[in-house]
Amino acid sequence: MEIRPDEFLSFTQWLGPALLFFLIAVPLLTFVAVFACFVFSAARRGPVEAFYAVAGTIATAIGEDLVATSLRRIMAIARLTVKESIRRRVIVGFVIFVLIFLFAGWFLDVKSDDPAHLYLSFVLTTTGYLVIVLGLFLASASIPADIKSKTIYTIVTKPVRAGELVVGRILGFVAVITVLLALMGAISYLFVVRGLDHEHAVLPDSVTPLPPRVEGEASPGWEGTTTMNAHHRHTWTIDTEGSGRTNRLMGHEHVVTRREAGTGADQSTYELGPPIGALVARVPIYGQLRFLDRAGNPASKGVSVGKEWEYRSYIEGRTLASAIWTFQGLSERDYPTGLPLALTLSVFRTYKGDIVTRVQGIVIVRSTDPRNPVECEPIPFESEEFTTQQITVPLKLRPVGQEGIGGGEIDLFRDLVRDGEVEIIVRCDDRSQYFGMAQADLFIEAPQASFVWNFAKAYVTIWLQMVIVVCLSVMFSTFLSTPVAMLATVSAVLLGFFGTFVRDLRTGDAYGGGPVEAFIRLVNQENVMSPLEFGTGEIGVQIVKFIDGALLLVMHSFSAVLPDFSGLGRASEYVAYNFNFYDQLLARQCLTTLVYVTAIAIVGYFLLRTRELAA
Amino acid sequence: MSSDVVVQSVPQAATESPTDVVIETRNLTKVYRDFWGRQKVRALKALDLEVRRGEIFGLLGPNGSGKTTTIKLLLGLLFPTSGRALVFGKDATDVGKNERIGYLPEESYLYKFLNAEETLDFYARLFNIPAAERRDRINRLISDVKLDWARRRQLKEYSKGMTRRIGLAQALINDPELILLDEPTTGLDPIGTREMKDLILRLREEGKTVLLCSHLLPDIQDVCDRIAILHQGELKELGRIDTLLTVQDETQIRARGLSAGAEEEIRQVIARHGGELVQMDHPTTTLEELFLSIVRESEAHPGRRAHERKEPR
Ligand SMILES: Nc1ncnc2c1ncn2[C@@H]1O[C@H](COP(=O)(O)OP(=O)(O)OP(=O)(O)O)[C@@H](O)[C@H]1O
Ligand SMILES: [Mg+2]
Repeated sequence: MEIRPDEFLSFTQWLGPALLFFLIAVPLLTFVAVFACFVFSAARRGPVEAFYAVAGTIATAIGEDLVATSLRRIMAIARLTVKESIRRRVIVGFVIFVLIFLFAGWFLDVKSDDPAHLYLSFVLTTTGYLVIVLGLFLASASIPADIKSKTIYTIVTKPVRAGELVVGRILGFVAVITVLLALMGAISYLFVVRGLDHEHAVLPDSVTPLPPRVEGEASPGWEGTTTMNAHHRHTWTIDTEGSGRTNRLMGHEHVVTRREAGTGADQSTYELGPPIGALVARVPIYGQLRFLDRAGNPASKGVSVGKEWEYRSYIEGRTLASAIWTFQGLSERDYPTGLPLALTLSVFRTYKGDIVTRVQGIVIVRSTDPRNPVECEPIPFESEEFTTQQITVPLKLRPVGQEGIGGGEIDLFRDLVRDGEVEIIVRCDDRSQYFGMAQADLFIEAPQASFVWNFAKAYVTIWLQMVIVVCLSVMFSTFLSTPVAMLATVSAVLLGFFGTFVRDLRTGDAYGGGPVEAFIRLVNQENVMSPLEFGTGEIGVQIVKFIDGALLLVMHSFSAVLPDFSGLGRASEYVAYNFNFYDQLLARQCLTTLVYVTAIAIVGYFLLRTRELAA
Repeated sequence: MSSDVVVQSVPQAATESPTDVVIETRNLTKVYRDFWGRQKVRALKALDLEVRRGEIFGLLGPNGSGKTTTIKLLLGLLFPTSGRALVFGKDATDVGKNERIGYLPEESYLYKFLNAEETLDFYARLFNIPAAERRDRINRLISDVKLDWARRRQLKEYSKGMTRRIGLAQALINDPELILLDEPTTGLDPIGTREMKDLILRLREEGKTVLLCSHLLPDIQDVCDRIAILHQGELKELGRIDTLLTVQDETQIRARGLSAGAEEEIRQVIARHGGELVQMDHPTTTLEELFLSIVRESEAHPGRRAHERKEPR
């Protein structure tokens, strides 16, 4: 899983720029909206009347409607919405959900290497989509149905403000779907836990004493294998004290206990506990990454090896080229057994050599104290490509260089970590081979957070997405018919989802070109990397590029003001990869959603208010 | 010697202060346009109306003459193309006025999935009515419109007349000062119609103002104080119903207990004036005759106000 740079920002770091953006964007958008209304109105009634109409609408909005808005009426409409949803059988959506889950057990590939990921991503995507579709269908139908059946006549001829209607509707749908989502969350949780649950028994014949560590000593314990269950079989070891573990397989392990039944070990029985470690919330501590070039001079990036995406930078083996991460906030209390590093490398080979031999690398821990930059002896490792490898930096290390402290041994936290800060250096140890790394490729695993809370966080972000979808649907349905409102909402969601991609297309960070170019490539079955060319030659290409530029500009401007749905979907990815989703990021998303929801509701209010309902 | 010579006179309109004007339209015009802004129908043409407090005002007109359009304009459901509609002195689009208004639409547009109680409860919650009073009112209105027996049934199971009744209850939930009724008696049985008329008269006794529109002439004739007749969006007739139904250019004398001499004398007087005695009083026409004559007239001379007719009938 790639971590996006902006996801590292803490709430306070983010708030400043976000507020600034808000303070610029909101007045600007308001002005644009008001001006657009004025132009629209002026086209029909002339500028003077249009001015009074627009000014009057804004004046009543603030001076009367806002003041007179009553929670009682909002709640009345919300209650009506809830009743309507219940009597119109939203339960159907929920039943579909349960049915999917009943059947899913058969279709999910439990032989996968990482069943927890499979289960979690299945559960989270299913609920996410279902809830969003439910929100879309429910919310975009209500106001058009009211207008079509003219029930709205009896409502707006009561002292109901347009804003109350919009907010009441939104609240009602949100309430209904929240209840459904909570139920779905609980069911999903049970589904995942039960899906991953399995039992093994110990194969009695497999139990053998472990060979002694030193010749002649007593055996330190026993080892054995388990029965085949849920498509896998573990091996396990247990010490003489009777505490043991299985090996880690398919993302989990089991605790092994011994039950003495007689005097000798032969009479003992061994029992395996439930799977553990499959549903966790790992807390990665990320560091700041910088590079040194092959001569050991600071470089902003490593080398680019050309073929790969920009994401990773490369360092050359057997040179001074290094990737250096600076970590902060480390304390001995959190890491009583050493510093667990998780490293994901990409390897670029300039000669094929023998593909089985792994490229060698080293890890060095260095103090950030400029006066006394103690560093430890390199810890060698073999690179495992494409997977995350675990390297634990032990608490006791050997120093490098002349000034060996106290018997040639240094303590990780006393001698290297200074004020919670330390540097970790990664180098490639094979000549002419390259390691590719990005900031998120090395992290320290802090003690795990609660999985249940992490799981809940994913549901909170699904909830946020649902709330935005409901608001958008209600807003669009104030002036569009149900299908069109749904289409508009879906477009907004997609544009919000691909906002980053559209921006990258414009800046050239992503390949493929704009809509027209993409279409031509699709028809000609070209890949996205080759330069665009077709029949008419250079002029045609220029025209296509120009049109695409304009289209992308429009799409980009829209997506810039739309909520970032791909960002809101991130929590699900984090959870599915067993990573803890940052609380701070969740707080940011909640606040952003609140702003969007308010803005959308205000737009909805104006649209409904200025609409001639009986026309 | 008793004589009951009935000489009907035009009743003096009670003098009212201008603050008592509840509804006022000035030059109110509505043109329906399609999506592209093209003109479709001129539904209402320069309507000037005034409805005063305590009045029962009837809007009369054939189908498609603009009655519903007028009511919708008064409620702010439509925006006037030109001119103004004022209710309680405020613009019709002002939401605050709705606190004092009750509206029964042409058809009862209610939520079919609610039952009678829930319907009234929902609408009551849109007003600032304390919970206890809300319950009282709901119970009272349900029994007023005689729906006690069906109060727990969903409206989708209601018959047309039943829906109409609950629609009326809904319009009265806030004890409004002004009630706009769009064809209140359609769908009601004769008893229901009678009850509706009684209700309207009771509302007048309570000092409420009622604007109702209908093409059911007996209804209008029975309850309305004043009427306006619309035809093709134009105002054709406006006035007190008793005045309008009085034929001013005919005198009808009918007497009892006159001696033959006296009768002869009267006959001579009439003969002297070149007349022929039939009966002596001002006959009243039926509203139906008036209505039909106005519509016929209007079709013959579009654009002319009906008052202008002078030729003897
Ligand atoms: N939404 C609309 N769009 C276009 N034209 C409309 C609309 N509503 C009404 N009209 C037209 O406006 C005119 C007046 O209609 P209105 O509903 O006011 O008549 P009405 O007097 O209430 O008739 P009825 O007695 O049948 O209820 C009619 O010609 C009608 O076709
Ligand atoms: Mg009508």
